Amino acid sequence: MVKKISVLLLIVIFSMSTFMTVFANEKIDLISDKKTEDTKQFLVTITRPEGDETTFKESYVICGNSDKQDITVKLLMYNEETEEFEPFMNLDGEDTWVIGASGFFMKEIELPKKGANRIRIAAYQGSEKMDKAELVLGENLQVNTFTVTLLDKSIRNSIKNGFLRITDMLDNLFGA
Amino acid sequence: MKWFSRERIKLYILFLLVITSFIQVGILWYYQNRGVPTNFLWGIFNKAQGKTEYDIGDAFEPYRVVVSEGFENPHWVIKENHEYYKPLWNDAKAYIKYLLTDKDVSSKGEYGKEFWGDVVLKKSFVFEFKTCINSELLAAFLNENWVSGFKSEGIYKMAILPSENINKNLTIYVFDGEKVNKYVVPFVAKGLSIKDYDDIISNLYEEDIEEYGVIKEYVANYVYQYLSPDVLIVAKGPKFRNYKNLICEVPEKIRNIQPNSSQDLNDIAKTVLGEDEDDYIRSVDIYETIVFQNLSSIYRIYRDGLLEYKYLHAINSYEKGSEIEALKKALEFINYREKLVSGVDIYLSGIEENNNYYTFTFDYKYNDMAVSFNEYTVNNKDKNKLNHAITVDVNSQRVLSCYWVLKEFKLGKDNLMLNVKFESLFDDIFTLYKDINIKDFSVKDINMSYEVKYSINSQSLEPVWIIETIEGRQYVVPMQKKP
Repeated sequence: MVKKISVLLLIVIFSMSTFMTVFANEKIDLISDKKTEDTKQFLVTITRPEGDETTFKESYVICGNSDKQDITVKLLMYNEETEEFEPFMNLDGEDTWVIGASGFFMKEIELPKKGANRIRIAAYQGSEKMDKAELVLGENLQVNTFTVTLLDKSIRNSIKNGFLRITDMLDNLFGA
Repeated sequence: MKWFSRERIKLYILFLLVITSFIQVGILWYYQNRGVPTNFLWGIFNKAQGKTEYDIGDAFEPYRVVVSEGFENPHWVIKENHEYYKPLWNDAKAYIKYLLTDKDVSSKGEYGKEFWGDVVLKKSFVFEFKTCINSELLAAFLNENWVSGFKSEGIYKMAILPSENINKNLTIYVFDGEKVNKYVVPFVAKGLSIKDYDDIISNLYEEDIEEYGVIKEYVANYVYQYLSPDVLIVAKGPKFRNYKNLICEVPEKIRNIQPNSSQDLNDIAKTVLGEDEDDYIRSVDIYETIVFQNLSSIYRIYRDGLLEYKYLHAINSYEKGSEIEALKKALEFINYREKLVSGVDIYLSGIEENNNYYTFTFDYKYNDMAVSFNEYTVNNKDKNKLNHAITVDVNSQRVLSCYWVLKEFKLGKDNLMLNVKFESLFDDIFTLYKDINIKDFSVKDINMSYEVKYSINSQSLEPVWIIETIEGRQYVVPMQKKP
């Protein structure tokens, strides 16, 4: 009888842990999933990028403000190979950080490629190691996606020199 | 006949009494201001010879010159010893002169102070003063008469935009602290051309010169009470930059004085009092404070190098005069004693008009890095707190009081790797000053600065952040060192 109960208990514990992993993975997927829709900026106001932006510089600064305490921010970049958003490190080597006493963060990144770079900023209230199971999109989890397009410097020089063909610009934007 | 001669003698005596009474009145009049009665005659001769006046135009220098190609591009601070500083500042002075004197000048637009943030995000050459210099003072600095339609209250900051105007004119934005006025003027003859300005920017890209961003590019204002949009910050590039410490000492003449040596006292008296040295009684008190005193004024030089001057008579409101006259007096006072300070430049940092006098404040810069005094304690019975290197109360006739922290500065040998990133600084402010409410917090300016504390000994100063709020409060935040 004791054996049966023990086996039953083990089965229950094993099943629960499996479900939890699945549940947690679902939450991780929520942040990484390309289909996840943007929420309102109710935890953090992203000041840069301010919508979709275009730049000539590989170096780009992401900034935001929050008037709430204990906010963790996670930075992700879209990977076309895996078709997922993946954690992306800033130049200080962090992909996740907690907003400090000023309520402000400013992180420099290097845009990985020319053309469109899809950046996702996720923010949630709680510590960095918080159980993903507790995160609910739009309630305590904020997700925002931006496209920062890195243009080739030759376009800038062409504009400066007053000579730019539309075909050149399209080539630079989408690749010939 | 006998009667006649007696009357004559009486008449002569009467004349003599009248003349001597006039002389006596004259002596007392002079005596009230300064000096012993014999100086009355010297005063007449000196006036006859005419004293050389200090040219206040020499004091007209910007606090900072900042160049940028615009949004997303670096902002460079052009130091005074940089080859571009002089041509840029000379050009700026020519345009200020033009704005003040050309009758055809008219404002092409007036904007609120927030617009200044848009100006600094354009390709611009910005000249910043630490305080708003009003139009009359600008005219006096440039030795011109203000006759034009220059509408601004004065110049706090001025931006030259050489390539904004499509008709190949030059655009100038003037920010007086409250509003921004736009002026469009032709390029001055013999000044820098559009190409010259472009070349300066191109060449600055090639130079190894520290780069900054401006706050407007990154931080939203809504969370805080107010953040000046043009505050220079470090957002990109390495987290740590290399700085040296600064050695600050009490001037040698004061530091090494022997209380019993009349020669030492004579030397310092000559430097501080100049030609008036004989008019003052000299002493060194029990606290080793050097005192020069006569009936009209007193100088005290404390062991930490603080020079305190006080005019001892009552002041008359009719002697207040104009700001220009008062500034001239203040500059003459400083210029004469400037040799007691070494290693730093002195710049005008504040102007305040009071009922019967003006207050001017001046500060030090070492190689374009500010040297600051924050709540520096005066070691006298009043225990005053000083926030500037020099604070002068002055009217059109004389300096009424002065606090001047006399120090000698030289570069130290320590290499300091310090965190310059704005994010770290901003977090440190709120961590260090727990009483700050984010929503009430404002930033007028942020500077790296060497902060001088009260000391009679040599000090090694390391750079700190000085955050000035729009309410005039200063927060001092140590810079993080590289672990």
